[in-house]
Amino acid sequence: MSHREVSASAAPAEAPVRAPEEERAALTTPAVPWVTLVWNDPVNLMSYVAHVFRTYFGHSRATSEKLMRQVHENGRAVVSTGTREEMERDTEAMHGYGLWATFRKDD
Amino acid sequence: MATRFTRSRRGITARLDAGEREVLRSLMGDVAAMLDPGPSGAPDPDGAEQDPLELMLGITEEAVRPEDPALARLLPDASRDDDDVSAEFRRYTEAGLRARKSHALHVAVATLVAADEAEAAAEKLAAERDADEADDENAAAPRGPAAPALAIVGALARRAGTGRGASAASRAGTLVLDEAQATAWMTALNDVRLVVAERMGLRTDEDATRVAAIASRPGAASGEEATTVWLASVYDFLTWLQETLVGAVASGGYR
Repeated sequence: MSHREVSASAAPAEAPVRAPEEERAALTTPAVPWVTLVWNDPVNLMSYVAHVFRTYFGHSRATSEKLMRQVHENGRAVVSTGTREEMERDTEAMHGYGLWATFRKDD
Repeated sequence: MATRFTRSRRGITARLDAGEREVLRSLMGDVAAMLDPGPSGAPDPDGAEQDPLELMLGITEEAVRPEDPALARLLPDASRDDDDVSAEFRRYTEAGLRARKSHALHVAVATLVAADEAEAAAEKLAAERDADEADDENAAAPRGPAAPALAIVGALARRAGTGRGASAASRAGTLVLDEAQATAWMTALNDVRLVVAERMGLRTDEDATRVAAIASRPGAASGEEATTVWLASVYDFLTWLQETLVGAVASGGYR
């Protein structure tokens, strides 16, 4: 996260300050991404889980409910993908909401 | 008898009677106490002083999975297959997580205390008004015919439970939350539900159905069974309250 900002500010004036969106994504997406999983449990309410996904991840109502149903029906769902550091942050946030989350390297 | 959480111009509100507020306060206080790591800020089995820098950064030297399964539910492992990953995650996040959960519980308790105080003040006011009105009735004659008539109307209305005194007292049992307090209430209620559920051995969807059935069973139980029925009905109440709170918060829309 922070190294991207540093390189942008250190870029020569004539160089484009920002690369196109896809290129930047390709540069910063790790080869082996990590994932955050949320596991089903009988206590957390479906409405609450969807509310958490909407509030924390900023998902649309449809996406939040789809993810919530995945958790409920499949026993778990991948709720975010990224670097290990980002997944640790998401896992910690989910624990703050009382959701049962884990993170791991994606297979 | 409680009324559901709804959104109004005043904020997110629900009516809770004194007994319901007392149960919520006591459960929230219990869970906050469970989360309290103790005066040193971190449990230290060796009794050695923890590095003050680590304390400042919220790093827990000896963070291990809690033995109490209910506390472990509030502070779960972050990895399913790597104990070292879980331990390291715990070391860096547990102190902050405990503090944030505890803060939410204390915010919720404070709103319950405020509702208690508002109700007590309203009851005092109503009692004083009753006393004043009794005085007015005695002193009414010299002030002309209008005053006693009004006093009688007030007394009749009060007896019927529709007077100003009665409405002020019932309004005082209302919990009024702003957005931040409502967010704190949501996580606080959820954490209390997680602990109560674990204490009842509620771990599967089938368990949840069983507990719901117990909660709806009519009373007349005794001893251990009475405790189970009571816990199940408290859990049922917490679930209902949480569901209406999520609905009321969501009805405000998302940014």
